[in-house]
Formats: sequence, structure tokens, C-alpha cells
Amino acid sequence: MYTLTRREEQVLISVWHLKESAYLVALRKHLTDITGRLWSIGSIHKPLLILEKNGYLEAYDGEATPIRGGRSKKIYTITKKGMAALTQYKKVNDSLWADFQEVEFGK
Amino acid sequence: MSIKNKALPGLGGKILALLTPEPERKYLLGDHEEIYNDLHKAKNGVYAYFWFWFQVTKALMEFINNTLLKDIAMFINYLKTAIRNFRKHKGFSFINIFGLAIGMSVCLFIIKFVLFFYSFDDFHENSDRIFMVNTIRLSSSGSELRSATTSFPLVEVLRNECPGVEKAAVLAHCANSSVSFNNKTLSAEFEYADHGFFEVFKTLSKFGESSDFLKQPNRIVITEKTAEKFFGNENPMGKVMHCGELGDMTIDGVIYDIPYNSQFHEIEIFASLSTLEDNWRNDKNKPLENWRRLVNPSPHLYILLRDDDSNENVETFLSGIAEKRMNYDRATYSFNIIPAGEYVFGTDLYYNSYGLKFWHIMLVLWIISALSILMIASFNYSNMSTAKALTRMREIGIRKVMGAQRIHLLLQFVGETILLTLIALSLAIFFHYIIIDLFFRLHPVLSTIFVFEDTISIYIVFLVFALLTGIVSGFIPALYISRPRPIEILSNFSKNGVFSRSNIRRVLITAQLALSFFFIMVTIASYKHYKYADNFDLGFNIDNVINVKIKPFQYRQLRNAFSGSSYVSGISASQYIPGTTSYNNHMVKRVDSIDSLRVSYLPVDENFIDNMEMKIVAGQNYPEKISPRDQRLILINETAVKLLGFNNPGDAIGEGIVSGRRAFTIIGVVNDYTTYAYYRQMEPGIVGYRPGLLYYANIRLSGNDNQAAIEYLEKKWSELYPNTLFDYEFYSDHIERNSTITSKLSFQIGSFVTFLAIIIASLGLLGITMYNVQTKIKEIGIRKTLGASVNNIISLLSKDYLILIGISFVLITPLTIYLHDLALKSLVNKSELGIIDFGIGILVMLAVGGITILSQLIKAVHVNPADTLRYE
Repeated sequence: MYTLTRREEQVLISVWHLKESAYLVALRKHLTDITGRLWSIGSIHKPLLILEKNGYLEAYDGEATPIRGGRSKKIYTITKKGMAALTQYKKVNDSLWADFQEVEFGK
Repeated sequence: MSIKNKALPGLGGKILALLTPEPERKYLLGDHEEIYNDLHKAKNGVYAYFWFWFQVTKALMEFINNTLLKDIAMFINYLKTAIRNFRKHKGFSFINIFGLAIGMSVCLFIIKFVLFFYSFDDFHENSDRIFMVNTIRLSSSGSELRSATTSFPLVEVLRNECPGVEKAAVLAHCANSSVSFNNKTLSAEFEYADHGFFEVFKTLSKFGESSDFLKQPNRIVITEKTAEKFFGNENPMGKVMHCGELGDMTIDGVIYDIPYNSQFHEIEIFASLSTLEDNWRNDKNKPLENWRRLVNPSPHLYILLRDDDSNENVETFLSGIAEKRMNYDRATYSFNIIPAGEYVFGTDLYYNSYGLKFWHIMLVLWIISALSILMIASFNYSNMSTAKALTRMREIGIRKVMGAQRIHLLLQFVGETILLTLIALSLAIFFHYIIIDLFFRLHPVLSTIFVFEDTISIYIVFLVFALLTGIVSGFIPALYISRPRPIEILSNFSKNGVFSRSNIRRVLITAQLALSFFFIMVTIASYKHYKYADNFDLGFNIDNVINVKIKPFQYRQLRNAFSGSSYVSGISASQYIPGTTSYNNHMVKRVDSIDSLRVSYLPVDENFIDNMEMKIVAGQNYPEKISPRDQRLILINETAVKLLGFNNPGDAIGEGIVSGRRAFTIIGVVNDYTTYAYYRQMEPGIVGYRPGLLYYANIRLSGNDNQAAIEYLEKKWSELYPNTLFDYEFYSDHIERNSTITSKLSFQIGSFVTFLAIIIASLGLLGITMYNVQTKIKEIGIRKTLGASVNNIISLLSKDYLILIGISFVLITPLTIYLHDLALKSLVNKSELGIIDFGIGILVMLAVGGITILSQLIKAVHVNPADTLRYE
């Protein structure tokens, strides 16, 4: 099974999160806000392409707004395979992170 | 949120659009625009603008990185590998570079040489439409005469009646004359030209309008060089020069010097044709209206065609003319037209033509020789590369693992070869200048004929040539090295014999040996040919004879003045110099016969036969007390005797001969003598007394001190004829210049080429032997331990080589014999190749090859088994 990189994984879960507004600009804002790091266009666009190529995502044409100069958006949705991957990652993550508590380091 | 949409900056938008592929393009552009607008709103316009351009820059860098830089990085990697390989095997690299450089330098020279010939007369305006008209005369007996001259009346007919001809020009031969101005007298090459000449050949005129040139009689146009000789930098228009027999001529204009690559290069003064037309008009033979007369006047006719398709129309028109005006029962005439620049390839069958001549076949031979030398060097490279394939196996293996396909490996190795070739090219360019220098040293006259210019296009040709050489040289070893099953290379290295069982290498080495042997034989053959030509018996004795250009009336005076001197042992005179030209041809027949025979006519004085030490075979010579009446008496040569139908020379005495309307009586028969060239069959000839046609004095010097003799004669001459040049040339120089020079040059060039070929082949042999000995060191060590003697080892190692020499001998000998016959087919008198010559060839091969191999063998044979087997 194709192993996702960390960024691809983060992009994938964000697509699921944003549902109908899962397109590049929104994803970028979402990820930037949450991770606190400025994501470049390329760092989102490339994972999106790879995910789509490997079948984790599907895309369709979204609305065209004047702010985009009349061009339409590309909206991404999770596929079954993508969902399976996400579920698996969640399960693995949960198992790895089970009983995680912050530990104070002594003086 | 109804803020007006800010569009992306146009230029950046376009760049981005170009860099992103469909179908992503519009989405990405939309994304960019959206973020751009957001930023514009959130921060400010400037921020947004810079952000956007930052994106564009990133996209550009990505693009360059993906396409260009990865290739460049790969390219640099290959380059490093190549250089590493060259340095690891410095010896072989050097041998290859040096060999290829030598081979290429010869080819570079040949390229310039060939391009020189193909560029003849191409610099004229409309040169592709300028043609020359030739006449072909087929006599009823089947002999064909090709002439560069045509009939005089044809000029006006073509000019006025032929629609395909836009302009016509005539150039006619003029006796070379001396020209003087203000007490300065020099000799100059004169030709008659009509005013159409400078309209067809629009040379750039320095002074004067070319459309006005030579419209009236007694005008001349001179070249820049001539003008400088007489007038320095002044404008000589309108000045009057005294041109010997032609009288005073006014200068119409000055033209720039005619370049080397033109048939008119040697002409210095053009005189108006109308000057002589008056004389000819008064001639009762009416030569200007005689269609069948091709000499005296001898017009060379050049035409400028109206457009590109006129060739056939003009040729049809010309054949019509020939039918109508010229054909009769004795002979048929026809015309053909040739592009003006192709004249340089005419053969010596074309009588009376201008300028430099070179045979196509000679060019082909030179090209083949140059390519052969290069091939030897190429084979060296192929040989050595395949031999060293094993050392690169590790590198190749790794590349294959990393994903290289066969095509990549092929490209890599061919690329390496090209790199090597380009390095060799720089050395080759240096060498080729040396070759050009050596070429000009062959004979002083060469630098007046040839000039090799360096232009950008020539260097581009050189570069392309080097690339091709690299590709061709590297192709075979690349195929071998990149083979899908490299394990096979390993299996080739554990066999016996010097060259192992690698058949490719055997073939290559045999090819090299064969080529070298061929060149050696060519050198031997051309040496024999040269010696033959040099020692050929012309039928008269030319030792210590000088020929001086004179006017007929001067002969008696000269004879009186010179005869007494102790420097002079004999004087005679003739119209021209026999042995290099078949200048004066006439149709003669016996009185009671219908068939006429073309003979060469040599007008002489009564002393000629004795002075030139010719033999009287039958009858007698001219009487000592000769009178003008005796002009009706002639002597013929032995060939003429036979061809006129006499059974033996004695029968010809007293018989009558008719030529045109004149009758002659034969008083004697002389031995055959060479008219045109030593290699031509002896032509039938007539020697006749013509005091009015003596243009050359033949002075035989006593031979004690030729230098002093000539000084004396010159002094006497200037006493008799002040302001006239003492224009002399040694008979032997004249012959050499015209005849034997080709064989002499061929020999010199052939030996030089052979020398180069042998050097390269030896280098190759050295390289291969070095390598083989290296690989066989262990084997030799073992053999020595087992008791092999020095002789055993030498014979073991050289056995293969001898076999290959034998094979090349068997291949090359019949080829040489065949080509020798072919090349000299048109020569009637020539040298032959014998067994001894082939024997000499083999000896040379063995000697050279032997020395080369021996050096390595000796090293091998003194191998100490203890050293080589130490690690076993």
C-alpha cells in the first residue's frame, strides 16, 4: 500500500474536514491556521495531485466566482480508498498515542 | 464583498499560464487570483504584487530545475567520467588524440582544397546563369575534337537571335605581349575581350564604368595590380600605354584583381576585341565569317542566360545552328554549354581553354586518400576502446543498476568519442596549417594558383566534420561496450594469441594494415611514374636549351648576334614550344587521296632539326642556303608516314601533301616527337620552314656556366632591343611546369600521405600491442617458467601479426593492380608495376610493423616470472 507522507496525510484529512469547500485556497487557509506554518501553494497542490493520482481523492468543478477572474474551482472529495486510509491512520495513531499525558520534567 | 476583482498582472499571468500544464492551468490561475485578491484586501496592493511575482519566480525555478538543470547535471557527470577515463589511460588517450588529429588535419586540408575548386567563378553577379559554349567536332573518321573556342559568327547570332541569351561575351587569345609606359616595360598577360565581357562578368570596377569598357578599338582595361606597377596610386584612366605589336592603347578603366578562384585569374590586361577585328576583316580568308574555323581567331564564348530554365532552349537553338551552318560531309559539329565555374574540371581534351584545370578523378582520389588516413586513426580508436572495455565494466554495471538503458550507454560512449575528437580537432587545426604550408612549398607556382581562406563557414564545416568523425569512430566500440550481455566481453580475454579471438579487432587491424600497404604501393607507383615521366625521351634533346620569346623579324639579327658567343652552342627557332602543346593543328591529305588527316604542324627555321638533335630517318633536312621558296618543303614524322598510308619512310620522299589550298612536298622524315605530352600517343606531325612564324628562339647553351651565359645574352639583347623584355625560360622548366609536374607532385604528395598513414597505423599497432602485452604478462610468465625460450615467445606473439599482413597482401595486391591500370588508362606511355615493387612494399610493412611490435615484445620477453607470478 502506498505510504502517505505526513503532508499528504494532513492534506487528506483537511479535505475530509472541509467537505464541499475543499479546494486549494480553503485548504491552504485551514492548514495554515491549524499548523501555524505558512503553507505554500505548491506544498498543497502537489500532494493533492498525488493523492488524486493514487485514487485517494476525486475532483469536480466548483463554482466560478468573479474573484477568481471567472475561473472555476477544483473541489476535492474523499474516495472510498481515501476513507479507508484515513480510518487506518486514525486507528494506528490512536493506538500509538493511547494514554498520552503531558509529563512535567523536573528541575 | 463586491470589491472589484483585481486581475493578475498580465505578464506574470502569461508566464504562469505557460508553465503550468493543462488541465490544471485554469484552476491554479484561479487560485492565484483568489489569493491575490485576498491579499490585496487584507494587506495592500504592493504586498499582493510581490507575493504574486514570488510565486511566478518559484514556478520558473521549478521548471528550469526539472528540465534543464537535471540534464546539465547529468551532462556534467558524463563529462567527469569521460575526463577521468582519459586521464586513467593517458597513453592510449594520447595515441588516439594524436592519430585522429593527424587524420583530421589532412581531411581539413582536403576540405579547403575541394571547396576551392567548387567555388570557381561563383562570386560573379548572376554566376548561376553564366555558361560557356564549347564546340565538338566529330570527323567522318570518328575522331572527336573538343574545343573551348567556337566559331566567330556564332557570337552575334547568339546575341541577337537566341531568345534565351540575355548577354554574350567573347574572350580571345592574344599573344602575350610586353607593355610599356614611361620607359617602364613589363610583360603582361593579354587577352582580347569584347564590350559584352564586362557586362556578363560584372566585376567591380575600380576606376571607370564597366558598361563603357572596350566599346572602341585600341582600348584596354587593366587590373589593379598592373595599374599599381605602372601608375602607383594614381588614376590611370585615359592614359596611353604602348603594347608591343598591338600599338598604343588607351586605358578605359581599372578593375579589381581577379580572385584566385576564377579561370581569368592570370589575365592582367583586357584589350578591346574590335582592335583586332579590323585586321581580321581584311584577311582574305574571311575568318570572321567562317563557321568552321575555331582558331585564329579563337573566341571563347560566354553567355548570360535570361532565366534559369533557358539551358535547354539555348541548346536546342545551338544544335539548330550547327545543323544549318556547320555540318558537312567531312564532319559534324555540335555545341554544348557548361556552367562557367565547372570549367576547372575540364580534361585536357578541351583544346585552347583558360585557367586552372583539375580532373574530377584527382579530386576523388585525394578525398579518398584523406578519408583513408582518417579511417586508420578511427580504427585505432575502435580497436583500443574495445580492448579496454573490460576496465569499464564496473562503471557500466553500476549505471545499468541505476536504470540506464542501452541507448543511454550508447550516447555516453559516442559522446566520449566526440569529446576526444573535438580535442583532436584543435590539434588538427594547428596541424592543417602546417600541411598547407608544406603544400605551398611543393612548388613555387602553387602559391600563384591557390589560396585557402579561413571563413566562418569553413570552420563550421570543420566542426561538423569533427562531430561526424566522432560519431563514426565511436559508434562501433559503443555498440560493443554497451552490449546487453557484458559477460561475453569477459570470455574474450582468456584466449591465446596476441589479438585473442575478438574478430572485430582482427578485422580492424587487417583493414589498417591493408590501407597502409595500399598507400605504400601508391607511393612506389607514383615514384616510378614520376621517374618515367622525367626521363621520357621527347624525340629531341632539351638539355641546356632556353626558349626566348621573340618577334619573327628579330630572329636573323639574334642569330647573328648570338652565334659567335662561346656560351651558345646552337640556335634555332620555332613557332611554339613542342612537348607541352598541340597548338597548331591542320587537316592535310595526300594529293591523290580523299581522306584527310589531322596533324600537328610545327613551323620552324632551317636549323631546328639539327639544333634540337632530332634524327632524320629518311630523305634530308632543309638546305643550309634556304630561301623563302623552300616554305613549300616539309618534313613529316614517322607516325605521319604510317597514317598517310606510306609503307615505309622512304616512300614518302618526294610525295605531295595538300592542306587547304596549299601544296607541299615532303623532303624528309624525322623521328617521332612529343607534341602534347609524354603520356599521349605519338601524334602525326609536320615540321615546316616558316620564317614568318618564328616566335620562339631555341638557344642551346654550352653548359659550362649557364648563369653567366644568360647574363651575357640578356646584355646583348638589351643592346639590340632596348625597352624590350628578355623573356626566356629553360626548356626543361617549361616541360616540368606543364607535364611532369603532376607526376612529381603526385609522388611527393603520395609519399607524404603514406608517411602519415604509417605513423598512425604504427601508433595503433603500438597501442594494441602494449595493451595485449599487459594482459598477457602473466601468461608469458607462466610460459617462461615452463621453459619457453625467448624465440618461442616472440614467434607466439608475432605469429598472428604475420598472418594478418599476409591477408592484407592478398587483398590489396589485386586491387592495386586494377586501380593502377584504371588510373593510367588514358595514358599511352606509362610505367608498370612489377613483382619487385610489391616485394618492396611488403618489406616496408614488415620493417615498420616489426619495429613497432618488437619494442613491446622485448619488454614482454624480459618479464621476470618471479614478479608476475608472485601473487599466484
